[in-house]
Amino acid sequence: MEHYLLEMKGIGKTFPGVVALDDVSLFIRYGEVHALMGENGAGKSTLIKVLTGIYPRDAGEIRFDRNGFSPTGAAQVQQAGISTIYQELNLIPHLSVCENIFIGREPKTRGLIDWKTAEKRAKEILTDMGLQEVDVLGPLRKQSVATQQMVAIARAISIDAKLVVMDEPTSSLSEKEVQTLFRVIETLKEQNISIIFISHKLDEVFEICDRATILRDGRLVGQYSIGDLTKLKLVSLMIGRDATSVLGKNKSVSTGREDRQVVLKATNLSRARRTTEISIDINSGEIVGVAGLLGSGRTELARILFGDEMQDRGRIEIGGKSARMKSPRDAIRLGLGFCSEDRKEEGLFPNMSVMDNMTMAVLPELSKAGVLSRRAQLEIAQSYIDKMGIATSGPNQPMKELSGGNQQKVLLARWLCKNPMLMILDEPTRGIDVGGKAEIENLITELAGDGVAILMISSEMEELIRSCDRIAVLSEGRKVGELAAKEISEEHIMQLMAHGSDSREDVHGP
Amino acid sequence: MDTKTEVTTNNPGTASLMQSEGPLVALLALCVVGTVFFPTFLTPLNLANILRQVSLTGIVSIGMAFVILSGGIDLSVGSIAALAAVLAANLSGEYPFLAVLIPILAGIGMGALNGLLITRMKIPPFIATLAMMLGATGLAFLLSDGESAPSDTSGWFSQVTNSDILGVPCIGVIFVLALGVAIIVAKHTPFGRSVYAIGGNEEAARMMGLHVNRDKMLAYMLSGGCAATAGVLYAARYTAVSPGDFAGWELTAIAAVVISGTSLTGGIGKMAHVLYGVLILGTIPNLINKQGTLDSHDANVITGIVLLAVILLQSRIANQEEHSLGDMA
Amino acid sequence: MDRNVNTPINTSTGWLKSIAWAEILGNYGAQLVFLTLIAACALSTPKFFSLGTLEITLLDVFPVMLVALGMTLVISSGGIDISVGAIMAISGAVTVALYTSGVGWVLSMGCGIGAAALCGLFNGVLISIFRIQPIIVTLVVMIAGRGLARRIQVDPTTSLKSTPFDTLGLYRIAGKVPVQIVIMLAVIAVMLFVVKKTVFAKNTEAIGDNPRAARLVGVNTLTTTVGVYVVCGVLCAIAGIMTIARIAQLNAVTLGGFIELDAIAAVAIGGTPFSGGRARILGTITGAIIVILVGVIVGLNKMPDDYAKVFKALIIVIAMWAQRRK
Repeated sequence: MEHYLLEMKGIGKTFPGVVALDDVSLFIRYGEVHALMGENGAGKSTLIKVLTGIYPRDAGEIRFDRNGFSPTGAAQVQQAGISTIYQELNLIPHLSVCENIFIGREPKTRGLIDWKTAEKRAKEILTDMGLQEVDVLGPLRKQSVATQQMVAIARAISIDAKLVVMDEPTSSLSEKEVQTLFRVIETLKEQNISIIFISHKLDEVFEICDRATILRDGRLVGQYSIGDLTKLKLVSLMIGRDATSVLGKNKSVSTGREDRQVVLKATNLSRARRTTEISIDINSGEIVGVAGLLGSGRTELARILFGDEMQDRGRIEIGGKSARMKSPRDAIRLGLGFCSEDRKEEGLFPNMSVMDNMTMAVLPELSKAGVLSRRAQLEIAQSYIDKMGIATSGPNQPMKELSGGNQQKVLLARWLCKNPMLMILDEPTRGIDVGGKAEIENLITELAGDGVAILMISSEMEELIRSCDRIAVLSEGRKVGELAAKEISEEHIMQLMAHGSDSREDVHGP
Repeated sequence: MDTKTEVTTNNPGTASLMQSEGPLVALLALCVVGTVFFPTFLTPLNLANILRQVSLTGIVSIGMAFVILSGGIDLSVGSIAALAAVLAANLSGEYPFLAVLIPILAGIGMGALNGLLITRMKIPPFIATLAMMLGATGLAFLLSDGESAPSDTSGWFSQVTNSDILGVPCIGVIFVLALGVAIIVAKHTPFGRSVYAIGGNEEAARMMGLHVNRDKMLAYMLSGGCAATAGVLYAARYTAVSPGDFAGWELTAIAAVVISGTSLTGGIGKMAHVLYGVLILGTIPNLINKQGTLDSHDANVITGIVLLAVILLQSRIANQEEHSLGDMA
Repeated sequence: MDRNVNTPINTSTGWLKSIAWAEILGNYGAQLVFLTLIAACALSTPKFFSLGTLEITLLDVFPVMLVALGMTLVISSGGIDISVGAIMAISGAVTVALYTSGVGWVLSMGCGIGAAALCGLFNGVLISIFRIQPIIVTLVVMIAGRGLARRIQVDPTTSLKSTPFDTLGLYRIAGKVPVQIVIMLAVIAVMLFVVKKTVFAKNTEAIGDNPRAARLVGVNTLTTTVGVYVVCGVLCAIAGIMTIARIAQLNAVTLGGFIELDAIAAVAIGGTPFSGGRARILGTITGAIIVILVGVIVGLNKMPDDYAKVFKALIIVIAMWAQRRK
């Protein structure tokens, strides 16, 4: 019988109304890199949160390093030798790099923190990772996102962890930085440290991982050696369908529509160093996708188009007229709507009712001299709850009690009830379960059918491929290419992204 | 990545330099004004006076700084000081030793209660310490029967407190020593760094395995302890103690901490700069006093204006820095 | 096994438990405390229900209630205003200074209210444009404002006996109902209307709940925030002028002293969350009455005034705890 570093057997976890994990098992060997695969909502992060004690498990057994293990909290889990690097970096921006690595376990002499030793060790660890230039005494917030990510890994290493969980560690890294990360992972492996690697990027999984556990809809699909898998097989296991039918499928573009008008035309938008001379135009009834890694300037583009930030250079025309938007209010007045990628921080009013959330943008139209017509508000709310099939106990339910998918529907309805000309959707299906995702995608397609122009930003390539008429690819703040319907494929998008970041001097976007 | 990193780290930026030294600049400016216009300003006697004036609220500010750095606020410090002072006064005649010990323990206990309300019952710090403020003030007035409590200042503790060392008032020395210890605690102990981390990002601090609740508790206990110490020293200095004497201390302490450049959202600030904040707040009334025609109400107006000016400067610089940082990312 | 979990528990104890105590406490906590207090009063002081006590209570409530109503709006926008007492003093000082220098009493009052509105404008602008935390901005106004009020006031203890203000303080409509109570009810009605019915209040709550999202749905965060603090300032002015009318005296040093504590306590007891996003006017009204009742009860039972503070502290903690359980 083989000994595993980590054995999670028959794990079950239920949230009100949702079975998040059902009889899921995960076995990690000593010194292996193990991919945890699955679509968004498959249960990967829930499983990790059970492992790290953030959620108590409802069923199942965990053994770690041959002992029974009942995680109760971050401190105890760390003590046991499990270190987690979350997607949203959990570091303290105002503290120094060195402190972020050592806080909680600072080296001490005579009861006081020994900063000299801490600094030296931080330098050593970072040098081992190939980051000798980082100023370990400077505040973390002054480092690039990639360096911050490396600091999180350095922290994990310094803990003498036996198991390091990496949740989407490469999402904000360039190709070169990914290679640095992989070198670090190899070193960890040599020290018999195991790694759980969560990533959507198949190439990386095939490059670095030894084995993979695949989850789907909260259940275990299976455990495989990477050598036994092909990309296609992996994808079909993850989505539970024949991969060719999904990957190959292109949206049947409604080519018949000749009456399309240019809704938005942006030329050479630049802002600071984050976006450089991006041009894009969107026609009515068209879904234009924006592909690009985190940090490619895709969210910044959305913010500029919605007037949340002003471009330094370049012009925007809406409906043929030059538009100068100083705030989102101006953009809304011109018929734009925007759903942020960060629902919690930038979308929801958690304590307010579903009705208020839905009608917030349309309130001025529902009122006379500032006095609100509650009846009109109710009518709109009720009609969209019915139309979109929003699962809620009623228009007065507080927003925070709804599931992610239903919250997103409310946020979409917020703009739909204003009859927008153009909707900007940043990661419209992030954090939504599979069923909800399909519904949202259908809604978006319907919307385009009604003549609304849609700009859809997504890091999920399949989603873009399924829905978009055209896809603009961004890399490092520049538009590195645009794919028309016939050219859209995963390979093309990836090529453009890679090409763009490798030699951007040679590339001039169309 | 590498080149960018180098550029940003090698240029700390004039903005952040100004932000870190702003309070000192303001203090020096006040001193220059004082020296130029009032010949009696820059004399050992007057400087000792200022130090004596600010020492007690200064000690309170030290505890407040820890609480604010952790992302909280403590409105109860004035009342805790008042209660401690009344306790100390009541005990001073018969039990001079207990008169020091018991009030300070009581202060720490009340701080612990604040911490429990905040970490266990999840009551916002503002409200929890507001309730403590009302409760402690009420108790202080009840213990003093609504009048001023006579304090026996003949004991050795009072003697020491009221004496000078080489012309430097003893309570000033106590304040400076306490601040020195606080600086070391803030910079060189796990607790101190944890306070910064909690104020910087509480969720991340939890994820990093820090004892968030324990350290928040400790911060409030420290604050309560500092406030009570100030109260005891007050009782040792004056022969009559009335709880009303402590009204507004919490605001003075908050103002001192804010002027020192500590962010009210927590996580940013230097303990050493609390000294500047405290001294700025002490120098203004001193100057007004020397000027002669203005009264204490005018001193408040001017304090308000200086407070506003310092804060505006800091917020402008912070915004600028944020902007330039955003461009780098 | 799985099915059992979803079956409702039908035993009687289970049913009892399933009455959501937490919910009752959360929604009606303040009201329950209120009832308990009245009962306690009635039992301990026979004189409590006499008309005189009731009227005194209502008049005592007046300034606290007005200020607390403004505070409710401010807190629902995610802010705080500790300058309310100082604003009361400024408006009172301006009013009286103008009146004693020969300006008509209506115009004087108008200017007093205008001065308070200016203070609110100052608060709002610094908070929304300069992005300074509300507690610091209003702390500055609190410290400087009272000094300013003292400077504006000509004579430290101006008596207003036999002036229109005195009349205003004593006037009873139809010889029975004090005019102050009528004004109070009118203000309550207006505030209820504003919070329940206007876009302004929705925008305010939205800013309190999620300022970033509010900007992104097109809420004018600048004018709304400024509006909130101006409304609060105006309510403080009314409270200040009514107070000096009632006691026929102005003392800029004591007028509205520590009223911010009572007002914040009233809002806390009333259940408006300090994280913003909801304004509970009725809750605040109850809260203000509770805060004052505590004082009255303590007084009627001939206990030292300071017990009131201790009781208020306990009530705040209990109210907050009850709301937390939800």
